[in-house]
Amino acid sequence: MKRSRARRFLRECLSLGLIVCGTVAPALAEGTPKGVENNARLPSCQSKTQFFAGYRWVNLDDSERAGEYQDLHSSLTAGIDAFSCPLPYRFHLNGEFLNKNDVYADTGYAYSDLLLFRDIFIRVHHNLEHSDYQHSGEPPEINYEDRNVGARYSTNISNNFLSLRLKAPDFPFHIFLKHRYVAKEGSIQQRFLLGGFENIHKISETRQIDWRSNAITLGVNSHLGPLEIEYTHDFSRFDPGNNNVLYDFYPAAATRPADIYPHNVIPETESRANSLKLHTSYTGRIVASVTLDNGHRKNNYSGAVADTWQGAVDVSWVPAPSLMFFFKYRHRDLALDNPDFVTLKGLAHTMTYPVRRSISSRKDIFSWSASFRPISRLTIIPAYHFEHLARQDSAAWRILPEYTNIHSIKLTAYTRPLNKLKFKAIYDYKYYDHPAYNIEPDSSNQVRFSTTYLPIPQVTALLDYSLTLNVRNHIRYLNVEPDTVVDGGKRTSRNDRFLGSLSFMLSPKASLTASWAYYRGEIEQDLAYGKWDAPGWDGDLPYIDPGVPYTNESNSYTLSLNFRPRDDTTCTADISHTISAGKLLPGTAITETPDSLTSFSALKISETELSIKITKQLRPGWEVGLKLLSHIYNDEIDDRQDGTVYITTFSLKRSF
Amino acid sequence: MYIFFKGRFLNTFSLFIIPLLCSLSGCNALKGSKPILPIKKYEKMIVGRFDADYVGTTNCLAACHAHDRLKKYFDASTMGAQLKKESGLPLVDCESCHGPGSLAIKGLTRKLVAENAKKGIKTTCDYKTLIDLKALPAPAQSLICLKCHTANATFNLHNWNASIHAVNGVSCFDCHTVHKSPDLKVRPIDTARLCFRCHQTTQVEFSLPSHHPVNEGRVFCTDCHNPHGGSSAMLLRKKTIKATCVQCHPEKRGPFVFEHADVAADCMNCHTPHGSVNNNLLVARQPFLCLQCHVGHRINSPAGGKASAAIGSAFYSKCTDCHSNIHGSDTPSFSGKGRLTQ
Repeated sequence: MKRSRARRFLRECLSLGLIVCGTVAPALAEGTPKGVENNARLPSCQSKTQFFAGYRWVNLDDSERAGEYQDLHSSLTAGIDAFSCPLPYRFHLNGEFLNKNDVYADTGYAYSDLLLFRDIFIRVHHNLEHSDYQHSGEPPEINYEDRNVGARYSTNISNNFLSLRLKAPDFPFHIFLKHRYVAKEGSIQQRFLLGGFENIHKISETRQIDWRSNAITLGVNSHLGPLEIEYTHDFSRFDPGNNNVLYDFYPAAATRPADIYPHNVIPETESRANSLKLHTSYTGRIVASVTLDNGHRKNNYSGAVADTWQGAVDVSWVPAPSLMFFFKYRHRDLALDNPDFVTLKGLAHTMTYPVRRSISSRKDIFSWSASFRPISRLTIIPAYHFEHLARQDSAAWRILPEYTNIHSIKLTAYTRPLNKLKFKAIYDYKYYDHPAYNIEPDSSNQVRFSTTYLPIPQVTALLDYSLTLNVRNHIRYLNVEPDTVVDGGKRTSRNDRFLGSLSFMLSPKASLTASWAYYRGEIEQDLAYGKWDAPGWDGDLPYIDPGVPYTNESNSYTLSLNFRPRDDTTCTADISHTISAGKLLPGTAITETPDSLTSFSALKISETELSIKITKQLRPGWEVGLKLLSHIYNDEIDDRQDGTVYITTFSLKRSF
Repeated sequence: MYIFFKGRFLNTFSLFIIPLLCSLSGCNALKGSKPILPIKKYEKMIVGRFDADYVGTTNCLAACHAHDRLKKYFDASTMGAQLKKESGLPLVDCESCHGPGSLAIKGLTRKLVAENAKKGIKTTCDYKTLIDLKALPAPAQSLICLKCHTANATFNLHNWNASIHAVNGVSCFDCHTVHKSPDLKVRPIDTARLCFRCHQTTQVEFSLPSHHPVNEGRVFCTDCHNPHGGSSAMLLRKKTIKATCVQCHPEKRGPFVFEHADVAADCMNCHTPHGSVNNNLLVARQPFLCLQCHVGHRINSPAGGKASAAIGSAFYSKCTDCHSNIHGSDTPSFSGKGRLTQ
C-alpha cells in the first residue's frame, strides 16, 4: 500500500517535471548559443575563495542541556566561502562543517538569467530532556515505570531546500520547482498512560524515530503586460518511518476487554494544493493582487480528510505621496471530514467507537489601513481589522460559540523630531465578540513606545517598552460529571516588555554595547478543579479557585565588545546572563488544592554564555582564529538539567 | 468557483495555454509595464535632473576608479551582466537607478583623474546632481527597484505593496545592498543579524531558555517569514500558522480522527515561536497551561477530604505525560473517547 502510494507520488513528480521541462526547453535551447557567443564581451568578476579548517574541543560537565543544539563531541571542523563568476555562469558555495551532525551549506548556480539554482542544506543536532517521574506512587492505584532509566535522548534533523528556476529567453516567463526535504532521526522519550483512573500506569520509554517529509512545489509565472500571473501546484508527503505505531497491553476497561492495543500512532499524511496568484503592475497608483488557493490534506492511517479553500485580495492606493491606503480581504473555508466511527484493532479483539465530528470553520478577515505623512518627520498609520470566524459542528463540543468576531483598532506613529532622535508609538485595541477559549480576552489594550537617540556621535541609546492588558470577564469550563458548563469566572493578564540598550564608540577601533531586557507575563485566573460528590462516587460541580496568579519573568543582560587593537587583529567578546523565573500560587481557601500544583509550576533558571573570538592575519591570504564559547545552565528547581559546556575552536583560514 | 478551481482546468491552462498565448500574440506587446494609474509625483522623484543627459555606464566609470570596490560584486550579478548590451539581457546601467549622469561627470576626463591621482588627490564626480537615493521616501526608493521588477515576472513581490513592511515605510534598500553580492540576496545565515537591526525585542526572545536555534544559525527567520509580504498574518511564509510550523514538524500536520477541538489549528494558542522561559516554547507551564481551559482532575477523595499527595502528583504535574497525543490522535482512549491519551 505504502509502495503504491510512493510510486504514484514519484510518477506525479516525474510527469509534472516532464511537462515543465518540455514547455521551457525549446525556449532555453534557443537562448543558449546567444549567451555563449557573448561570453568574451561580458563583464567578469574575480573568483574568491576562503577556506578554513580547524579543530573543535568540547568539554561537557553534567547535563547536555547546556548545549541544546550542539553535538557535544570534539571534532575536526572546516568551512568554505567561495564564489566564481565566469559570466554568464555564476557559482557560489558557502558552508560550515562543525561535525557530522552540525552542517550548513548554501550552494548556488546560475546561467545568465535563464537558470537559477539554489540549495540550502542544514543539519542540526538537538539534545532532548529525559523527564524523570519524581513522584512516588501508591500501588496498585498509581504506578510509574521508566523502561529506559538513564537513557539519553537526541535527534538529528536534516533540512534541505532546493529551488530551480528556468526563464524563457527575452521574455518574462518562468517555470520553477521548489523542494523541501526534512528528516528527523534519533531517539525521543515517549510517555503514555496505560489504564484509567482506577489503575493509573504511567510509562516512559525510548522511541526510535525515522521521519521523512517531502514537499514539492511546481509552478509557472509570467508577466502579461498589465498582469502578472503565477500558478503553483504543491504536494507533500510525510512518512513516519517504521516505528509509527506502538503496542502495549492495556487492562480491561468498561468499554473494552484487556488486550494488546496500538497507541501513540504517528500517521502518514499527504497534502496537495493549487494556488493561483494575479497582480497588477507594482508601479501604479492602484496596485491589486489576488490569490486563490485550494488544498487537500489526508491522513492515510485513519482516513481523516481536510479540505481548504482560501482567497486573498490586497489593494493599495496612493492618491498622493503623503497618503496611502491599503485594503486587505482574506477568506478561508476549512472542511474537516473525520470518520463517524473508529475501529481499534487489538491482538484478539476489535472494537468500534463513535467519533465526535471535528470543527469545520469559515473565516473572513477585512483590514483597512492608511499611511499619512502630514510633515516629512511624522508618519501616522491608522488601521482597522475585522475578523469573523464561524464554526460548524461546534454544538457537539459544548463550550465553543458558533462564531467569534474580533474588532481591532491600531494607531501607529513614527516621528523624527530631531535628526538624532527617532520615536515610535503604537496603540492597539482589540474587542472580542463571543471569545471561544478562556485564553481569548473580551478586550485587549496594548501600548508600545520605542525610541532611538544619538546624544553624541559616539553614543546610541535604544529604549523600547510595551504593555499589554487583557481582560476576560466570563470564562467557561466544561465539567464532565455532571455534564455542564460552569460559567462566570474571570481572567486578567498583563505583559510588560522593556528593552534598553546603550552603544558606545570608545575609539575608532573599539565599540561597546550593553543592554538589559526585562519581560514579564502575569495572569490571574479563576481555576476549576474536579470534585467527587462526597461521600458518593459521582462527580460534583468543580471547586473554583479564585484569582490564581501565574507569572513568567526573565531578565537578560548582555555586554558586547568589538575591538581591533591592530589592523591585522580583531577581537569580539560577548557575555550574556539570563535569569528566568516563574511561579503559580493556587489559593489556600480550598484545602484540597494539591501541593504539587505549586511545586511543579515553579521555575528558576539562570544561563550564562560567554563568547570570545580572536582573529589575526598572519600574512596576506592567511588568518588564524580562536573562538571560545562557554555556556552555563543552572536550573535551581531541577538540578538534573544543570550543565556547563566549553567549546574551543582553533582554525586556520586561507583566502585565494 | 470551488468546483471549477478544484478541477484540473487550471493545471492544463497554466502549463500549456499561457505559454501558447504568449508565443502567438508576440512577446513585445506583453513585456511593457502598464500601471493602472501612474503615480506621477513619485515618478518625478526617481527620474533625476531634467537638464541632465544619459551618458551610459562606460562614461560613468571610465574616468573614475572609486567605484571599483562596488563594481566587484555588482559585475557578478545578473544586473551586472545587464550592464553590457552583448549579454542579451534587458539593459540596466548605473543611470537606471542613479539618474542621468552628464552633469555629474561634466569636466572629468581620464587625464584629469590620472593627474590628480599622481598628486594624491581623489577626483570625485558631482554626485549631488544624481538622484539622492538615501533621501528618498521609502515608497520612492522601492519604486526605483519596482520599475524594472514590475516589467519582469518576479516571485516574492506578489503581496509587497500592502505588506506590513511597505505600510511601515521599509524599502528594498533596507535589506538589499545592490552592489554587494552576486545575487543581491541576503544569505540565509545572515538573515537574523539583518532582521534584528529593527526587531531587537525579538532577538531577546531567542536568548530565553527554550528557543528555536536561530542564534545558532540552524533556523532562519526566512524559514517562517517572507519579508516581502504574503497573504497570511505576521508575514508568514505559508497560508496559516500551522502550515508554517508543520514544514519542519510534519508529524503534527493531521488531520486526525480526534482533534484538540480547533485549538491545534493555531499553534500559538500554546506555543510562542521565538523563545520562552518554559520548555517546548510553551506560553505557560503545565499544568497551568491546560487548566486555563480545562477543569482539573478530581482533587478530593470519594469519601470526602483531601486526595493524597500521590494523586495530586499524578494529576497535576505534566498533563502530557498521559495526554501524550495532545496535537491530535487516531486511536480512542481507555474510555473509548478522544481524550488524546492513546
